[in-house]
Amino acid sequence: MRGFRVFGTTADIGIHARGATLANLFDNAALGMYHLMGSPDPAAPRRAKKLAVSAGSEELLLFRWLSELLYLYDGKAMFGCGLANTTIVDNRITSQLVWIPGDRVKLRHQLKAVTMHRLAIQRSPDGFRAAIIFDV
Amino acid sequence: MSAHIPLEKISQFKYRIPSSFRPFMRVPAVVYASPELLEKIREDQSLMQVCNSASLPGIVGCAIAMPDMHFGYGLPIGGVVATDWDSGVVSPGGVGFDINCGVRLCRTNLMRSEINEKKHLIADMLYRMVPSGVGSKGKVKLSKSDLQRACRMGSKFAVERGMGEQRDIEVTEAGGSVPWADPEIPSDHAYDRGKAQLGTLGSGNHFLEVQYVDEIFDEEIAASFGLHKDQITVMIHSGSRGFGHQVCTDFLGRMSAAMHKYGIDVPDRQLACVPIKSPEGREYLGAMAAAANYAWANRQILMHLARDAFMQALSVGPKALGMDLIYDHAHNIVKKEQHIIDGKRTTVAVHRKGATRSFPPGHPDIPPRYSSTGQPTLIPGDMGRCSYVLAGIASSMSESFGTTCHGAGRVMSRSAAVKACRGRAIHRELEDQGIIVRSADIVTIKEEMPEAYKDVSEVVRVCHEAGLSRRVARLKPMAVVKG
Repeated sequence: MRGFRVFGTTADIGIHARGATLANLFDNAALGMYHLMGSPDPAAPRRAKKLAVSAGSEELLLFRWLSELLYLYDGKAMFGCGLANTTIVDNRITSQLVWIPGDRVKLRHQLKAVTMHRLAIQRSPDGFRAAIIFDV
Repeated sequence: MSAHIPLEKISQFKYRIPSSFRPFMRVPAVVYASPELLEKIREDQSLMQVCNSASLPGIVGCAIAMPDMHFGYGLPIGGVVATDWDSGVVSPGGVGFDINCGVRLCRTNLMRSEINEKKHLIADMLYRMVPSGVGSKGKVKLSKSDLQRACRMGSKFAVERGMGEQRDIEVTEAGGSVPWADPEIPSDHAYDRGKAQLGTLGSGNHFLEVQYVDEIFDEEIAASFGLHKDQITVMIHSGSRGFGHQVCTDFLGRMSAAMHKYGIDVPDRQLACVPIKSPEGREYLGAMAAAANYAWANRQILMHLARDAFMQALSVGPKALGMDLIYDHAHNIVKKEQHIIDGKRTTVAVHRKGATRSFPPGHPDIPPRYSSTGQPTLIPGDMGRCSYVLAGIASSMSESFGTTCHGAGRVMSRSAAVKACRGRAIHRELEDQGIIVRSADIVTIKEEMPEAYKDVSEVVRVCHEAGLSRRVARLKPMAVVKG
């Protein structure tokens, strides 16, 4: 089962992401964002890149994390199709992005940006949840 | 979803939400709408968003919403907020991610009857020559220093490279360049995103449209704008692409973290703001202006590409084509302007997000050639109905800081639009109405279906009747390239 669900707003789109741990939540939010952006060519060569992002709060960290991944696609043509070894300690995330070249993706939506609209990370007995809206 | 928000009717198309509605509101909110539009406006959270924006420190007058308002981030789309330049704040959420998203309208010497049989050819050529759609890349490779030059010079950057004329600059808002741009401030991320996207239309609701003048409402002003019935016009809607999106993203993060330093608290994190005169505020304004200038360079290049496409498709020269710019303006920007507040001339930062500056006759900030008519104001509708040309009028200065609407405004989500299209071929329906649509992606055409938008004619009627702008001409689409 996917760790995210897509929803619509008047002009844009968003995802409800969840995860058993905070790191799972961040992974699923990233995979949800990539799902909105397009479908990767399964035959494309895969590479890996280590990433680290920090912020002053968990919510701001989620905003900066997704914004950084969006930048890597739009500015560096690196489209993520997986994440490995994600850890979050003291509002600092480190992870390994598995990516393919941006021209090997069947694009769906051009996301302009990650928004902070009602961005909140909620804790529940089965883990963590967040709703993230993207400007299209 | 906004049924609980109290709206006091002030006049036929003007409603007020008192500042007592929420403790954080420093001023009242004013909404321009008809009962029909209000019904749709109440379906999303945009009325609450305009109330939230009334909390910005240093806000003057009232928080204002145009009749095409809908849900946005921070300020709603269609929102206008002015803050005192000396004591107020600046908010990236009051401008939006697509800094200087705007509209450009060109006249031509062509008549509807001359191109009606050739519109497929024109649409195909425009689609081939103007990069558009998700992931599109510009035809010119630019270094960072080239891009910094574009961010400083705006439209002039393109004109200097042979992509336009000096007269284009004269009829572009702010001469196509905000002078206080500081290209050193935007991050390397912004330059990485912007380097391949200059001269691209983008995706979503961005478009290039071939239209004809369907109706003239004010003969004298239309003639001054160079418009007459059945004439072909070309409208371009685009912005600052990934460059501007990244500038907004960077400063949203920075301001969100910096707000507490200035003792600022806002009801919506997306309204993050800092004092205009703080280091973060000054830097945002410098970066925002750089992105605004990028957008003006972008639309100037797009116009040049469109002109070439017409010349190739019709085998005509530039003189015969006569594609000249009528006007170009932003509808997502913050500008330093002077307005009369409580009887006193005051310098303010006017945030317009999905709202268009529409200055009246005689205003010093509009081109001399329009000093007797008022500023041309370009209002795109959806791809199936029509667009409008309006003119600025004096009453808008006291009503809305010289502002009018920016378009039709969405009424349906993208997923709802796709769902509503099930079993329908929107591009064929439009072709049956005589409108040729070209887009790389059939889903975009569904998402942008005419019913997904409010009726722009009703939006424009409200602006006309409420004294925000004057109706001049109506344009109908013949061929559309969707981003």
